[in-house]
Amino acid sequence: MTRLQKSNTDPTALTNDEIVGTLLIESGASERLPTDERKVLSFLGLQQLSFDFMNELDFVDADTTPKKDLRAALSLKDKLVAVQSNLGNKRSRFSVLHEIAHFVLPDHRDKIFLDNDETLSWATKARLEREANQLAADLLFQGTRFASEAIQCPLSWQTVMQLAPNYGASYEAAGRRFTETHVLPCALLVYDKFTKTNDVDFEEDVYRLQYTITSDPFRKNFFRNLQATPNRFPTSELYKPKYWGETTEGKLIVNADDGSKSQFETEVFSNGYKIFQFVRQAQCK
Amino acid sequence: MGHFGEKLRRLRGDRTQKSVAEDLNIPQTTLSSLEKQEGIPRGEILKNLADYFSVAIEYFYDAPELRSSEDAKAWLQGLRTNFESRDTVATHSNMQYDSKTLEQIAAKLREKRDKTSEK
Repeated sequence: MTRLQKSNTDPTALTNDEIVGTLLIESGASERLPTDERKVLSFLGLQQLSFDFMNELDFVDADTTPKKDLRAALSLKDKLVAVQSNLGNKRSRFSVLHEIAHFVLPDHRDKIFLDNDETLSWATKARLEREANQLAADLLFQGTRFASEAIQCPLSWQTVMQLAPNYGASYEAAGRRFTETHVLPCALLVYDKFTKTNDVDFEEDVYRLQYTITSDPFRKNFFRNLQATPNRFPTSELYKPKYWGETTEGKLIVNADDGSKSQFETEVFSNGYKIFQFVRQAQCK
Repeated sequence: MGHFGEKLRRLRGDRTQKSVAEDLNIPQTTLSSLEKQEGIPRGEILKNLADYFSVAIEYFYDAPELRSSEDAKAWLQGLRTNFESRDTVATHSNMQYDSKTLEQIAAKLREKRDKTSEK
């Protein structure tokens, strides 16, 4: 007996919220945290496969086509989601959810798996990746559940560090979600490592501003993006902890084109790869 | 359900009711009542409060809970059936691979899946 139900609805008319809510509830993944990607895979009839893209794709020339960046792949025909075998739990979970997003988003199925025009433009590929990341984050943070929980807590990087493990998310992913969905003005500046000096003197490593995330009220009251000139900072200029892993507090002064200055409170943290500078108005704690 | 007054009180922080009421141009007794009020007030006052405290209006509302819809359910359950599809893969990667490579990756995955299921 078929389990399909007749529907006159155009699937492209479904909203992300509808797809995320239905997927989490009907698969049983909404019952606990973190989101159990295996339940979602099972609900969709997908099989997970552990795969070493670095070593098992012997036909790909590593010199011309880097493979180390490949984290996961989805085969619609075989209903398989393959995940890089040595990924940690958090990255593996997110990669699986990312592939699930490609599987359930109607437009993605058409563009990637059905269209005869086999080569996607960079712009289309970038859009599809962005949308898949967004839906994966919605699944990971269970729709508005994370944001609802976060709003009950202080507007602080400490909240990010407290909530991230519950959702099985990296500090970076949780920090992005916390900031972009927050109803209070706040921003997150993320710096990635530009040059590494040596393994001992991490203070001399050089970082650059990689991207800025801002909440709606922050954009409304202040600005959307920040530019740094010059865009290079030694660790010691950004992050001076008493011990590694400490969150340090400080101030950030931002100059506007009109010559005015805005001062914010900051909390700075590093996971060893990136430096995160959480920015908020004074007295927002 | 979130308590409107508690949310409003939290926004006021260390500031006195008197100074905030003056800034908002409302009697202090009105602000005091609002901070005890469970429900969300209607009209202009809500927008004025959101603007004054630099928060989104949504701050005062409870976020919608997850919900399942029949249309989405039908779509997702329909995905369990087999589809005609090109023999390719979607990748989670910053790289873009050509169609031949993607086809080869699909074949490799199938081969490993078959070997794994034989065991």
